[in-house]
Amino acid sequence: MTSSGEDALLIEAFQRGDKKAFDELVIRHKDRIFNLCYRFLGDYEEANDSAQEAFVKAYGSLNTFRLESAFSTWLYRIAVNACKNKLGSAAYRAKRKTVSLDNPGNNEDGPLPMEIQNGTPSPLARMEEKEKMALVQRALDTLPTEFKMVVTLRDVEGLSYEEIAEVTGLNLGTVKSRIARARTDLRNKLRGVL
Amino acid sequence: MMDCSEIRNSLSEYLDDALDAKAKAFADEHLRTCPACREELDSLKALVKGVGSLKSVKAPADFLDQLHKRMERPSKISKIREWLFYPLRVKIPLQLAGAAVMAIIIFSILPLQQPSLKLPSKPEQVKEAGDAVNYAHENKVGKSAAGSEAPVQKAAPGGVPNDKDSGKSALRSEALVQKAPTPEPAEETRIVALKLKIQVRAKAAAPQPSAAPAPASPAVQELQRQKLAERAAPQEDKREEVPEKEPESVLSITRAIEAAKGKVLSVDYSPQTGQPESIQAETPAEQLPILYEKLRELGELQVSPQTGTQKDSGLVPLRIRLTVSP
Repeated sequence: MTSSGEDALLIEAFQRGDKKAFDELVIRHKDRIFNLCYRFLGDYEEANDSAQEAFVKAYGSLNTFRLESAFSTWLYRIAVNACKNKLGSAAYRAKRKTVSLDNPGNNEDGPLPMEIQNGTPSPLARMEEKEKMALVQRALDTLPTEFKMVVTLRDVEGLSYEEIAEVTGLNLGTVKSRIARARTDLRNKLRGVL
Repeated sequence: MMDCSEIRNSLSEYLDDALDAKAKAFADEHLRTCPACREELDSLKALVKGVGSLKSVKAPADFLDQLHKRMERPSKISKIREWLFYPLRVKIPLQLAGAAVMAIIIFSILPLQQPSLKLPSKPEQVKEAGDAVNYAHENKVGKSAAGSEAPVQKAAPGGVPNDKDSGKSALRSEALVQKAPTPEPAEETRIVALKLKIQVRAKAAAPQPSAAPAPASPAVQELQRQKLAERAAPQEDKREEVPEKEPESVLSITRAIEAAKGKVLSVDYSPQTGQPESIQAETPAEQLPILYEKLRELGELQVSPQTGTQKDSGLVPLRIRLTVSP
């Protein structure tokens, strides 16, 4: 059975009253949702909070979910909105601000470098893979929200243009142009690193 | 042949194989011959690969447990509901008692305030004057319709006691020569209607030659001085045209009032036509018959029957409404 077919069975069970089926859905999707939130927010704790929030919302609305669309897309949409709310919250912004000035902080890949080099190749190009990935995440963090979201969904999560349009509610043309623009921006920021 | 910038704009879609066949063929053709664009494509490919190779970060091991705890946590709304109503046996009777006390307080305070809320019953003429006040409020842009307010309000004490606009309106009054002495509460404004035989000229019209040498009374001179001052005042509305002199009709009535030892308080002009509409004046009570006689010389006079308390002596406020013979 396909992954989405299994999702559908679990959802039907949930809608019939088997609330435990939701736990199974969480286990199946938590890592992807968490990863999306983490890449989007660039902060482990905030990502955890947003991912949890997304599942709480999904639990509340699952009875009205129609199986016409994919559960994963629906869940992504909820997670994207949770992350956007998080980005808009004053607490998150204050936290990011204090982190970004002198101490870029840590992530699961280790300490974040102090700055991103622009332009010509530099010694940063010889950095280890771990540090390189930290730089990529930092570059992602510097993108405006609307670009960061689409490029994360495309290049980190591997969603198709159509799925991204469904998750974000944007039209296909906007999705394509935003992805192109985000990639160009990232490439310019990471020139010499990748 | 597509140029480099067009190709570069489509490289992202080219990478994702999202271009249609025709655009893809063009891009392929261009990339074969343009090393710069090929380099651009390679750098984008490296970028996409780099972003895609970001290690997938797994959710914490206790994610589901945390989620269960979070879902069990009562929401803010249920917390508020609990705080407001539970335990029902205690809080509901308390709230009912509180509501009853509030109701008693409100109903005991309300009647105390009612007398001030109620308008005193006014005689018909004063109601009419009250209408004029309303009219004045509606026409604040008008020249001086509000000028009639002050005497009217005095005539109906308590009628509109908290009218904040009266101060502003008084400023707009064009011809308030001096404040009328505070009238006694029972005093009534006499309202007379005067249908003029002579033509009532718009205020902005050129004065007739006969108006110039008219023996301008101190009151009229004061009126004119005030007009000039208003015109000179920088904050004055520039659109407002100020004539050199009062229309002849007003001058004649002013003379009549002064002959009856009275005083003109203000002249109100229609904001639409610029013609004088009414004149506020005061005159000694014993001089009223003389004034009426003088006014009858100017036109058809209608004196409204007085219903309120009237004085037989002292100054009586008077309002002369002007109409023109058709």
